[in-house]
Amino acid sequence: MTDSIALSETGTAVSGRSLPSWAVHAVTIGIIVISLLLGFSFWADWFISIDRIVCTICVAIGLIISISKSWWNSDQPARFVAPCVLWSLAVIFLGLAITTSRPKFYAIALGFSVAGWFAAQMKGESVGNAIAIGLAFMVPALVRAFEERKAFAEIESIAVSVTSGLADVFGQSHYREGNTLYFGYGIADQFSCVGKWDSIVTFLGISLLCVFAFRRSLVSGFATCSLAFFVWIAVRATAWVVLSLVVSSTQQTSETAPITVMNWTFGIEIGLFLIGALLIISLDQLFSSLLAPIPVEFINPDFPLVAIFWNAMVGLPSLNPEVPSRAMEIEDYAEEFPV
Amino acid sequence: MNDRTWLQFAYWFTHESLKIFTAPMSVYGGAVDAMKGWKYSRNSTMFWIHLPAFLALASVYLAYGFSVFERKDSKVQRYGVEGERTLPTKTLENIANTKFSFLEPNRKPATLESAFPTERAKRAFQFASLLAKQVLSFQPNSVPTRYRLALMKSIEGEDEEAREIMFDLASGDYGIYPPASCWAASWIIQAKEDNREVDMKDLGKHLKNATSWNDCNVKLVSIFSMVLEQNGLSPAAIDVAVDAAKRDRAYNLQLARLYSRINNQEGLRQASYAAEEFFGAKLNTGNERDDDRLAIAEVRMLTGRLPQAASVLEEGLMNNAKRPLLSLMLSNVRIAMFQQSIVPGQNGTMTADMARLESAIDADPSNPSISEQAARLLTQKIKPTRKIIDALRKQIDSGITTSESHSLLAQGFYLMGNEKEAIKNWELAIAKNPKDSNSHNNLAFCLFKSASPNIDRALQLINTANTIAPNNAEILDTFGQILMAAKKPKEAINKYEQSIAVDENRIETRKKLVDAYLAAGLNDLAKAQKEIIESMEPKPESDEDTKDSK
Repeated sequence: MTDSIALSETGTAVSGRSLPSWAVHAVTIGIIVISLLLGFSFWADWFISIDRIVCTICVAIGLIISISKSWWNSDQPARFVAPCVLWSLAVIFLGLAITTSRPKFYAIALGFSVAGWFAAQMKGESVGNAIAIGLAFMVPALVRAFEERKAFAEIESIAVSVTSGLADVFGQSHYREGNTLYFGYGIADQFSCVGKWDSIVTFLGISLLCVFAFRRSLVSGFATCSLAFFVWIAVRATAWVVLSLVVSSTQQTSETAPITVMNWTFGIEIGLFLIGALLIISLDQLFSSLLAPIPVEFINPDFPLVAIFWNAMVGLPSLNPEVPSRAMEIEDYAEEFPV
Repeated sequence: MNDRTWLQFAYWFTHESLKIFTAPMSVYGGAVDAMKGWKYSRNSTMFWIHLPAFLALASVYLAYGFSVFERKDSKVQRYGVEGERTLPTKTLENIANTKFSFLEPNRKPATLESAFPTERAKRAFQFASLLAKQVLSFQPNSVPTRYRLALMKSIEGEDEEAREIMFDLASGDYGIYPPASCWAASWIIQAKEDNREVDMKDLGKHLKNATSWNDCNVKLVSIFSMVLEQNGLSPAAIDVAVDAAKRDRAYNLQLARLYSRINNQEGLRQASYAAEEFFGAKLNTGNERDDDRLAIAEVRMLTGRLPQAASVLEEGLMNNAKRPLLSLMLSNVRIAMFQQSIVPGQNGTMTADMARLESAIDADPSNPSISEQAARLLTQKIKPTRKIIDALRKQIDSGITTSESHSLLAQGFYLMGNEKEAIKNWELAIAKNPKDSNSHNNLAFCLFKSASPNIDRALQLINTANTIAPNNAEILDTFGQILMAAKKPKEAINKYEQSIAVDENRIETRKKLVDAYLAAGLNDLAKAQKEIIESMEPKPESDEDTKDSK
C-alpha cells in the first residue's frame, strides 16, 4: 500500500460520524455468514461444475490484483452513509431471499455486504470502486439469472446461427435441428453455454479478470464482459467449421477418418479456452485504449467539447494521485516548436 | 512564394505524409484522437499490437454476415445440387421401387442394409437425408426435396410416413408432380396385389399424372391403358397403349391384345407387325428366351395365324423339348385350332377334328384347357375319342382340372340326366373356385328341382351365390323359387322384386311373383302385376333363353 496524498484542498475536516472497525467487521461477517449458511445449496451448486470453478478462480485473481492496487488511506473523512446503505440493501436482499425462496439473492446480499465493508475501509477509493468489488461476488447470481431467463439458450441459438452461416460460407453442408448442428459424415454437435472448458462462463471469468485486474471503467468493463459472448461464439463456430473442413477433406481418402477426427476432445476444449482467453485479453486492451478518457491537461483547448462529452461517456481518468496535475505551460509548445 | 518556401513545404508535406507509413501508429493518433479532442497524438503501439485480435473476431462475424445475406433460393439450389450429387434421385427411385414387386418381380425388396452395405454408402445416405432436411428448413414445401425424403423413408422402412408424404404430393395441392403420382399409383396397385384394403378412387388420377412423365415405368403406362379399357374408355386406352409401345417396343404385344379385344383389325395388324419384328429381332440375336418365342406365338394367334404360331413354338421345342411354357402355349394353340374345327354337322349335331385336340394333348397333357375342351364336348353332345377321355380322367385324378371344367362337366351330366354326377361336379367346381356364383346357383337349382329336394342346402348355396353376385337377376330368381319352396313367400317376393328391378323384362319372374303375392295374400299387388305381364306379352323367348343358360 502506498501512503495517501491529499488531492482535495477541502478534505481536511473529519466528520464526527464514523463507524468503529469492530462494528464494520462484525456487520459484514454477520451478513456473509448468514448468506453462506442459508444459501448453502446455491453455493454448493455453483462450485459443482468445473467451468464455474475456473470462472471463480479468474475473478478471484482479478480481485486480488484490484484490491492490491487500491488506495486504502487518505485524508477523506470515514464514510458512514454509504456502508450503511449497502448493508441495508444486503439485509433487504437477505429478507427477499428468505421470503421469496430465491437463493440467488443470497449472492447479491453477500456482494452488497462486501461492498459496504470496502466502502467503509477504503477511504482512498470511491464508493463506486467498492461496489465494483462487491459486484464480483454477485457473478453467481448473474449466471443463475441468465439460466432462469433462458439467456444461455438464446446465446446458444445465436452461436448455432453463426456456425451455420460460417459453414455455409465455407461450403460445409449441414443441417440444423434446434440448437444441434449436423455436419454429415458423422459430425454432430449440441451447442452448450455451460458445462465445458470452453463454455461461456469460463470466458466470462477471463473477462472479469481483465475488468478487475486493470480496473476498467463502467463502459470499458461492459465492453470487455460482452467480449466473452462474442469471442465464445466466434471461437466455437470457427472450431467446428475447421473441424468439418478437415473431416470432409480426409473423408475423401480414408474410410474411418471422420470418426477419429471429429471427437470433441478435452485437448481441443483446453485449446479453445486458451485461444479465447488470449483474444479476450487482447481485445480488452484494444477497447480500453479506444475507450480511454482524455486527461484534462491533454484536452485541446481549441476543441474541447467532444473531449468533454467523451469523458462524460467513458468516465473520468483514474490518475495516480501521486502525480499532481499541472496546468498547461506555454513552454510545452516552445519545446516542440522552437521559434 | 520563393523556391525555398516551396522546398520547405514539399519537405514538410513529404515528411508528414510518410509518417503514415513509417510510423503507422500516428494514423490512429492523427485521426481518431484529434477528432476526440486530444491535443497530442498518443503512442498507440498497443493499438496495433491488439488490432489482429479484433480483425480475427471481425472476420468471423463478417463471414457470418455474408451468409446472412446469401439468397435463400441460392442456398436451396446449392444444397439440392450437393444432395443430388451425393445420392441421385434416380438411384433412390430404383432402390425404393423394389418394394413394388409387380414392377420388378425378379428383385428382392431392398432395405437400408442391403442397398447401402458399406459404412461409406450408409454415410452418403445419411448425408443426403441431412441435406434434404436442410433444404426443407429453407423451403418447407419444396416438392422435389419432400419426394426425395419420402423415398429415403421408404428405403428406411418407414412406409407409413413415406406414404403420407407421397400421397400429399400426388394430391395436386402443390401442382402436378408425376414422380410422386407414379409412386402413389404403384403403391395402390401393389396394395391391391397384396389383397390389402385400399382406396382405388384416385388410382386413375395418379396414373394419368404419372404417365405424363417420360421416366415413368412403362408397366404403369400399360396398367393405365388396361384401367381405361376396363372403364369403357377404349380410345383413350389405345392412346395410352400406343404411348407405352413407343416407350418400350415390347409393349406392342399388349397393344395388339387391346386391338384384338376391341376388334380393330388395322391397329392389330400394325401392332402385331411391330411386336413380331421386335421379338423376332431379339430371337435372331441368338439369345434364345421363352418369352420372345411366346410373344411371337401370341401375336400370330391374335392375328389368326395359328399354324405359324404353332410352328414358332415347335421350332423352339425342337432344340429343347423340356420347355414347359412353350409346350403349354403350343397346346393352347392346337386347342384354338381344334375350336376352329368345330362346325355344325347334319341333323343339328356338331363335328370337330379330334386329331387336333389329341395333338394338343401330345404337346402338354397337363394343360387344364384340355379337360375344359373335353367337358365342353359333352355339353355340345360330341363324342370324344378314347385318348381324350383318358386325358380328361387323368387330369381329374391328378386334380389339375379347373372349376370351369367341372362346371361344364356338371352341365353335361345334368343335360344327360345324370343328376348324381352333375351334383358331384358342381361340388368340385365350387371347391376349386368358392367364388363361382354360377356353380352355386346351378347346384342350388339342381338340389331344389331334384326328385328328393334338399331345400336347406339349396338355400345355403343360393344365399352364397347372392352374396357373391348381389345384382344377378337369374340368381335372385332362383333364390325366390327356393324361398317359395321353403314356404317363405314374403322373402321370396323381396327376391323376385329385386330380380325385376335388375331386369324388368323378366316375364317369367313376374309370373312367379304373382304366385308369391297370392301365397302371401296380397291380391291387389298380384292383380296389378298381372296387368303389367299382360301389357308386356308376348315375349316368351327371353325367358326360354335364361332357362337354357341355367
